[in-house]
Amino acid sequence: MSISREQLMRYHDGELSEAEARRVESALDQDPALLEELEAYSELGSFVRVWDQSNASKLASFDISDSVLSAIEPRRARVHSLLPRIATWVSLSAAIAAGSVLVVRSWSAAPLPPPCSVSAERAEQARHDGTASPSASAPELSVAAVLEAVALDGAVARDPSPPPPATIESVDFGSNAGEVFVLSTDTSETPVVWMPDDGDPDEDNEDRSE
Amino acid sequence: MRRVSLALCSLVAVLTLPAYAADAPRAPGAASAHAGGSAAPAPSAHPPAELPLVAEVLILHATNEQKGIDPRIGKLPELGKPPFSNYDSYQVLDRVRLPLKKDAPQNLKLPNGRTLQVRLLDELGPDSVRLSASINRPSGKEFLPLLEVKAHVGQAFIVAGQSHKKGILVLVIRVVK
Repeated sequence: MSISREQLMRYHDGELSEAEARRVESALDQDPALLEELEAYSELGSFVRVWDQSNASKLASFDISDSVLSAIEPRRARVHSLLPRIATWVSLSAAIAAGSVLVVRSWSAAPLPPPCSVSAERAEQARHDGTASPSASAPELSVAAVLEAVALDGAVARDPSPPPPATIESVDFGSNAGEVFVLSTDTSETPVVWMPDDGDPDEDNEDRSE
Repeated sequence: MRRVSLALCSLVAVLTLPAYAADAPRAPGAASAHAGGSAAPAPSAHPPAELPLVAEVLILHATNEQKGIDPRIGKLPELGKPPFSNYDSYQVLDRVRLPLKKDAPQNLKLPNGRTLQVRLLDELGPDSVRLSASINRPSGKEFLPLLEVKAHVGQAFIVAGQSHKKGILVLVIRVVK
């Protein structure tokens, strides 16, 4: 007759039926090893009960959150140590972005005329065109005006042509002889009024003879 | 890590500071500071102060005395072209700056005793003017009664031909700020 370990443990715990219990008892009578095993179960059960009684207060106050927190504490510490680095990188990136915006703005955009001058010029133009409105003279700053000013500045910057040369609008030689001509050089065109002396002496008797 | 951050910060500073430096000359006080050397820049919120227009008169004496061209004249290629190339020597007699103000004619005594009068007639734009010039004899009698010129800043016109000490006078009149 063979008795399994499970049956022996259930017998020890008093969970077997009477027929099964009798069968286990007859096996115990015949097999001393099985009896020793049963005694071992009894000793183990006593030990567990004693341990259970002595640690009951500890088990009652056991809090799993402490264990979890103590387990993850090193990771929290790592996260804390990463924060300053992340902050440094974020601020550094912001500084680079701001600096880039400033550089691009200062290198690419021509200086804007004062907003008031833009609107004043527009108002003046409107007055000349006869389209001045009551609000035309009031200083105003619109996006269109600023964009127009930027476009004009860009056009001026792209146009390398120099302003027209000085021009002589009128000349009166009086009773003297003279001529007007333009001297062209590689870099300029200069109007010249050539007016030699008429030979009449000035009244201060200064010698102007060649 | 810290070295990389430091290097990046330095790069940002190097790229950013010239942007502010480039803005500085556009400040209204910059021109006066450059000229005077001690004026503090004005706040950038104010519009730039207009520099006064000036007629710079360069009085040259052209002769054939084989003295060459006065280095103080600077670059004036017109002197190498006729009729100015008929003279081999040009000397600076005077260089005068006459402020151009409306209704305020400016008189300049010439080396030959005559008087050059320059008057601002109109400001056609921020850098463009219309001005008049005339030359009178010492008696008050007119030599060149009237000359009206329209010029931009930096442009010049020349009045030449008056006899003076074995040569002629060449007046180079340039509008500057």
